[in-house]
Amino acid sequence: MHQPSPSSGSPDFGTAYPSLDEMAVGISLKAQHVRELMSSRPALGFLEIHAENYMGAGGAPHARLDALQEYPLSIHGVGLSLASERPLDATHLARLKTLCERHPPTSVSEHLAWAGHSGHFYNDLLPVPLTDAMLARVSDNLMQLQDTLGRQVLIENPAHYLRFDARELGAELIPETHFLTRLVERSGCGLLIDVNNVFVSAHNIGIDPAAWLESIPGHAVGEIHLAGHGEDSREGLLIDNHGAPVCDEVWALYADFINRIGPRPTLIEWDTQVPALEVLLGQTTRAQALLHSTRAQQLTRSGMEGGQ
Amino acid sequence: MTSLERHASAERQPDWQRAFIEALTQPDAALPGIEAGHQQRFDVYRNNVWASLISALEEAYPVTRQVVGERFFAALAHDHSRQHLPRSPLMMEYGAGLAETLHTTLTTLVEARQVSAAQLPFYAVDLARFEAARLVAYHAADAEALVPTQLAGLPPEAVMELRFSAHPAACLLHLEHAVLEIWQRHQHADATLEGLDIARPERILITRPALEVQVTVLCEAAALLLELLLAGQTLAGAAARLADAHPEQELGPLLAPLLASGAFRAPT
Repeated sequence: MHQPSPSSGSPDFGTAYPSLDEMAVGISLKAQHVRELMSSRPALGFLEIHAENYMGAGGAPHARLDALQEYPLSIHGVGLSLASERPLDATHLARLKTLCERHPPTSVSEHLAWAGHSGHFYNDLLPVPLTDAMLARVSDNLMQLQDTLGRQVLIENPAHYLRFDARELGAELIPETHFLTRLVERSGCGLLIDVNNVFVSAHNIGIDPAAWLESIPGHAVGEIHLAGHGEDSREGLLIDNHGAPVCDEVWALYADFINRIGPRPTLIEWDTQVPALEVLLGQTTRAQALLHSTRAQQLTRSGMEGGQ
Repeated sequence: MTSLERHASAERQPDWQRAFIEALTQPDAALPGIEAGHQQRFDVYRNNVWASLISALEEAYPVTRQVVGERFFAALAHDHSRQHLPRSPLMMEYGAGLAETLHTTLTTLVEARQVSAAQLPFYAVDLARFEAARLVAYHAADAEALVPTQLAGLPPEAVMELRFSAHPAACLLHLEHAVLEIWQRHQHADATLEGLDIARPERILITRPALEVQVTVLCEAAALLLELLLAGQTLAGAAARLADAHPEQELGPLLAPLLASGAFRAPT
């Protein structure tokens, strides 16, 4: 089983906590699919939930997780604001800990983003100028989060819509992949690489998606997200709306990425205009096939090396 | 770097996030720190933030939206989201005060003499309260409800001295309109309110003894009994008060729907 290992010198959370199988393919758990999931019990490597949707005191959402507990659970937070300049919201951190105790997850992840300010929550992943000060901030917040949960947390790369101006910000900007690499070294976190976000960002702010993925340290990657996107015709931007099938370019980037770093747990993410479960399962089959062919190539390669 | 410069640099980031938030609320404001050619792109965040809040309200109030119409609701949700930003990342709690915003909006229209009160769906205010209360019950803490058989084994005198505590999902609403039937009729397409006396005050008990939210319409006396019991009165004490207020009513038939709907928490 793959366990992203922190580099030497960074905090080590050991292997006491579980992690997803590297061949696992999962889907986002949606209320409208629960009945069918419970009756047909499809072979899925894991189910992923947005942490905040399960932070109510009780009722159907929790019953749903109890009924589906045979599937490994990935808890994916969207509201912790790790890149806020303010300290983490202690109440929200405690809620996340309570959720992890009530429904023990196999994986926990959050975003390189902020969503709140001065006691208000904006329900979106807001952009972050990647400066040295921000690296220290996010790293400290991540360590606090990991200490609280007693486990490693994966951090996801966001979708970008605009470019920052370093001179106007008055601070030097760090390339995103360097920022993520240094965050792993400093905090001992793992990475959740959203290939669709890389593709969308590449289109929007002019980066080379293949080169971007190439400079991500493979050992740190604990999960991959695949999703679809939409288009904003006015500005010619791609919008990460999780409302469509994964596009061919993203499949190709994904195949190359796992071919380099090896199989990784992969999520088909679909949150708006959610289709029939069957459609999601079709996407998971495609991801599973790519993971298997990567695994086969790895075995062939190691077999050849062993034979020499 | 001098300590003053360090201070300035440490301060820069929070200022930038504040500027970002301010720019979200002002359609033409420029956001500092982004490339000049990308200023228009800031609209992506304006759209995402406000559209997501409006869509959260649409999901929370499907029937209210049906009643006031999609366009009116969109405008209402737009105003409400700007006046009341979420206070926490728990979007299930967002929009609790929408009924009050709707009431203010309708009252303002009447005061501006744009339309008469009779032409406006003031009953939608009650409907919004009802939908909000159902959502709260849906997410309330799980607890075992007190069932009649738990009382059956007790001697009658002991039952009369019992004190009851509310089930965590239980909520009593005093509404000015016949909201339950309005809501039920709107569970189907092409809903009509024909033949319905809308302006009929209603006391609605919302409960969730298991996973399903239940709705029970209470008569005035049963609602009073519930309020007395939840205020800490014993059954005997509540019965004495009821004898004054509703001498024609018997205790048993008033208590029955409260127990059957799971309004009380089982003793632990």
